[in-house]
Amino acid sequence: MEYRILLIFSLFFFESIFAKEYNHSEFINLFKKKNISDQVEIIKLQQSRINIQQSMGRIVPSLNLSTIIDTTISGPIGLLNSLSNLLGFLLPSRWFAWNESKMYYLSQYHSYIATRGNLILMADELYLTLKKVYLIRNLIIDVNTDLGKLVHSIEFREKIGELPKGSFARVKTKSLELESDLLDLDNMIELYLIEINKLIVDESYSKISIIDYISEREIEESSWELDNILEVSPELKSLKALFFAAKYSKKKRAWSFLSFSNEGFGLGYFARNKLATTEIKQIKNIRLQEEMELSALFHSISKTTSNLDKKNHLYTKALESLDRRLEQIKVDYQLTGKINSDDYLENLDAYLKFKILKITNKIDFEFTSAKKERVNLVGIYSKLDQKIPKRQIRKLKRYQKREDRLVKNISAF
Amino acid sequence: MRLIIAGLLLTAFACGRPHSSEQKSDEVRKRERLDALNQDYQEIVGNYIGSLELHEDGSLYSAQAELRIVQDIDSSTGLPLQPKIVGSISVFEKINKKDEHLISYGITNGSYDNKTDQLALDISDNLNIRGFANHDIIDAVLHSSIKGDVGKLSLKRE
Repeated sequence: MEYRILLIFSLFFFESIFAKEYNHSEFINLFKKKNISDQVEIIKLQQSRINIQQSMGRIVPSLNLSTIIDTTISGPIGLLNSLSNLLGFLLPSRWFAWNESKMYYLSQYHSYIATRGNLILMADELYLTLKKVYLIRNLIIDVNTDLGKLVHSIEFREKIGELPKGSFARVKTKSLELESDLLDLDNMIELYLIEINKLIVDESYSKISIIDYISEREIEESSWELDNILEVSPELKSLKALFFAAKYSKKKRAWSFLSFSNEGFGLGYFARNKLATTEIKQIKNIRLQEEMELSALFHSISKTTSNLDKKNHLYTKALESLDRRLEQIKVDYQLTGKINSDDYLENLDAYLKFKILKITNKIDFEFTSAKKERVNLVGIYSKLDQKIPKRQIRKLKRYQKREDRLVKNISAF
Repeated sequence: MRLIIAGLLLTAFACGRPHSSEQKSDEVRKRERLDALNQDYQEIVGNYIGSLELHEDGSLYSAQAELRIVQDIDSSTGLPLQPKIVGSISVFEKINKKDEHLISYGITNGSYDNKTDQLALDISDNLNIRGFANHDIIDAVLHSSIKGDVGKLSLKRE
């Protein structure tokens, strides 16, 4: 008896856990939690964090085997050779390297936020595309069911000589065309569902989860201004940090001749400095390019939003007119038994076209809203740094706490 | 001779005037004829259910018929007009094991002869039903003016 209860319970458990119907926010939350694509970015971020510690380590005195051996074998001259390990804090290049690593970390941090935002936007787009396919499929099912009744009735009327030969063939062909479209759409849904499930679950799922395509996507209203977008953009912040890192790198190279372990002051010194200056210029240009891209995106989204509104109005009017015409043809047919199949199908095609355009328009509107949220970092695109592992304050050493404060302060710019 | 002419005129005058009792009996006869017709039609009014088999490909449909009588009144004389059979006939097709309504026709004019059991129902300009009927069954042919006989209608009283 207990086994049976256990079996029923486990079946219910599996059914409810692995084959659920997700609405938009449930899906995105699950994606944020389970997606593994951003793990690589997290690892990169952790590495750059460790790099800060590593470069810090180069400032504080350190004793390694080479220092001991050099001192033992060569005496004071050997000690002089390994001086940079013992008295790293005296070398400005080490301090600049430390600052550079902090800037790299910061750049990586913002880059991670940008990547995570893009990944969520991609999941958002996939969800909305699937939703669009579902809605179109439902539309075609409804239209074909409606047409099916007419097809049977026209077939009967043609058989008894009420309608001319060929009327049935024309409407039946249309119905079969719709059935074929339906098969393609079902296939597309299956493929999209597999992709969706890949994003939110591991291989242990037993049944493909589906999405709730009826409910509307929650839209976070926020200010829509270019200045705000440029201010919050993680891409720009990342490039800004990279710019400072390049500056520190240049300074580090300029002072590197003091270090015994580096290349020193020679023919390549000026070339190295020039290279560093070029890198700074390059980053500056990339940042400018990114700014221009964001500005273009802002104008494009603004224009698209306004066009979507106009289009929606247009499609609604066209559909009202076509709906009336189709209804009139059907009523006339019921009353007189006569129908012009070509006229009916022509109107039906136009109706389907505008209905699909309206669905596409609606989804485009939702996706444009998603893009707005992404560039503004609001709604589901806020708090994107949640997955970055936090260091436990209690276990941190004093210099690490100071370092955290510094990183936190520079994160603000 | 004068007497003969006067007699003939009198006879002609007498014959030319309608006699009121004769007129009354005409109306009664007409009314009786219409009542009898109404009585005949009453024989087949009601609801029927059955099938319609098309000659073209032998496809079978379910059919339902509802027959009733209407008898209008002549507004000028106040006398009842000839009754006629009206109603509707609906055709259903079995789709996915379910009878789906396909089409309904209104019966615009119908007549029935009790003695010969002949039934005639006009559906539209192009379609009519001709056949036999009695109190319980209708066994008729669906006739199209374009294609001729198109189907066999077999209905039973519901």
